[in-house]
Amino acid sequence: MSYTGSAPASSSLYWKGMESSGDPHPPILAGAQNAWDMLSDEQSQKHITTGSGDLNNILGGGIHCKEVTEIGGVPGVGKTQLGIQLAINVQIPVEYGGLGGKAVYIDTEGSFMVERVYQIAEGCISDILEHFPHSHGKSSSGQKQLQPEHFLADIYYFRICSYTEQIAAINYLEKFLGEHKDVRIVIIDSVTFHFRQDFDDLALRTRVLSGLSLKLMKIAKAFNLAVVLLNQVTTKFTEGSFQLTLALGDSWSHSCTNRLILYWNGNDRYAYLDKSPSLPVASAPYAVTGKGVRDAVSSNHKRVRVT
Amino acid sequence: MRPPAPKPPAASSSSSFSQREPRPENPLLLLPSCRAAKLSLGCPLLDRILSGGLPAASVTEIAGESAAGKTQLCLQLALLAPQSPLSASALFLHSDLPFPLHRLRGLAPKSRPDILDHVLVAAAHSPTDLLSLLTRAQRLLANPGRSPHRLPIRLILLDSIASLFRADFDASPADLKRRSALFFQISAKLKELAYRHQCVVVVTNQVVDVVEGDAGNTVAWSSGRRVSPALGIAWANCVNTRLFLTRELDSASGIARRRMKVAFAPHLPERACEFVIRRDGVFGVEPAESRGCVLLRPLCYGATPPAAPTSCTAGTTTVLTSLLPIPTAQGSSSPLPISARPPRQPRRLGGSSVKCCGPVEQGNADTNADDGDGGSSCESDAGGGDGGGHGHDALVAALMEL
Repeated sequence: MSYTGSAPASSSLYWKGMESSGDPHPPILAGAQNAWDMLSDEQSQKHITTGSGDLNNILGGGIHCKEVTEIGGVPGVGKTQLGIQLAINVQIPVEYGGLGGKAVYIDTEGSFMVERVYQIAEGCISDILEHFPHSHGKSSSGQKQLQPEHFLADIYYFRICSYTEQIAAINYLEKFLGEHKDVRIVIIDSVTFHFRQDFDDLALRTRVLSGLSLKLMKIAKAFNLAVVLLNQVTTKFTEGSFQLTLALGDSWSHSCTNRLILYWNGNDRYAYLDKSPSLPVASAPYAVTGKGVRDAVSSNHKRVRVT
Repeated sequence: MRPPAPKPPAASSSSSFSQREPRPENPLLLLPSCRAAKLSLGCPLLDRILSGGLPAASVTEIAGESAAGKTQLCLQLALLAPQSPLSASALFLHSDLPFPLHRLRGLAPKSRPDILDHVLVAAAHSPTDLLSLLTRAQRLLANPGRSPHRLPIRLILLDSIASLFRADFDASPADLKRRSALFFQISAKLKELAYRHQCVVVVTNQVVDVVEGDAGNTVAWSSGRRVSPALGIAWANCVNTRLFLTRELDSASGIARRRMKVAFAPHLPERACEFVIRRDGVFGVEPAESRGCVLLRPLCYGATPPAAPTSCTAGTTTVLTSLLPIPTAQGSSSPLPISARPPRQPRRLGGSSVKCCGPVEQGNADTNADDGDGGSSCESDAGGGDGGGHGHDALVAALMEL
């Protein structure tokens, strides 16, 4: 990809201009764009950082807006941690290189622990201040103060207890996002849980799920936001042996633009980009620290998996 | 895949829910309540690795081999819940028969015989049995307060999930599918109860030997075996937090050294703590001094000494004096060391009545639906019930008729 290197430093200005003055080129067909415009759009687009540089690299800069990204992995590998991290990182103010957006967090499993969100927000703030030591005083006069409380208050949290509620919430999302234009990421943790209970009719399940994914893709495009779906892992019985795969079956694997699989490699956590329309398949180590998702650097920084 | 196909189910469900749009919650508002709503394990060391205790609105699994201390911990939690800031009754669902009544009684503080009134016991014999019990519990939780002096149920214990699935299921793909669908149903129900009523939910699980690979599941060494929690990765997806209890026989002293490990949790790093099981309960021990030093802290909620555990690193064999029970002002609990306690007097606890809605000695799944008069209660001394016992009778009756 030759254009990635040319991403201008002034990309944020260009993007800001786009947003405030509306569409500069009136399209012939409503919503139509030529590929050149799309490319420059994509270049100017900021990505949501995962907190780990290595992980950002294999993702092409972070989680992309306008796309649906699926993240799967075994219990305890850090799916929820990454989800919470993204809900915090999307809020990094524009002057610190972030998107300054808000987050919608749809929790189907009850793993969203607010005390952990608070810790991750604190970790994020301390990293911002470390990287921008001079702007410390300036930010207090800015629109958004760097307080963990503000980060928490800008996450719209929905707790879902059944699949009908999940469908209803996703249907409602369009209206909600219309009223809250500053939301830049929608996280569903996990999309799977309620669909593994009592669906005898798997064809119905497939239809409902692909309906959800179409809706989410539409939302991602229409509101220029990132959709992140967390998925569970299941054992699949093939050729006389059990293998680990992401849940919800083969047809579901078509419904996401990107697919990232988190796995253990010995005692280290790794992420593997399994599917992406624009990026090569790659893997990278990451770590879950007290501050949140970070690079797996030295061994003393890494969280050791006690077994 | 035809795009319009998914519309009908989605549209119909949205219309039925349109009266009541989902409302987002502000995590900031969840924060203070979340901090308060932790159930202490009754020991500062164990609480420390859990950052204060077991969280509400979340499902915690305690996995471990037999005799690792799972049931002990559950009994302790059941007795602590009424005394804790949660101030709640406990619903103890057991599938391992018989229910360890005598141990529960032994653990109960002698000065608070009424504590046992707040422990509701029910037997579940099969996964479907459990689901119907949970449905009944849901109705009970939804309308509390037939009796004014009863505490609401805010703790649900299930001991154990694995024994419900030991029979009736083959290793065939069809049975495995049926089994995991049940896991998700049970888990969804537990999580819904946990969230709607801010309950602490604890589920115990057994272990299986790991032959090769780990298939993505948690693995630990216990008693020289490589074990993994039972029910596979499907069930692992169903819990929020997994605590792993392991024991290792010390070849030199012959004493079992037990450890509690946080295998995974959304809010906790992976860490572990050694613990001991004593006559008066389960207590953490500081790893360096696990031989000589044992916490003397009976089941009581005194003022918890702040940051006490760190102080014990000073001496090597000293008993953690700062953790010694502090006599509370109202004297509601008797924090005496075991030796100073009066001998066990079962009759003295006559007023307290632990009752079982459902047969305990002989399991028979259909009998717990037959009558509403508490006739299947297994405790002989239920007749001497005081006011508290009476309220409990009503509670049992309520649970029965639901």
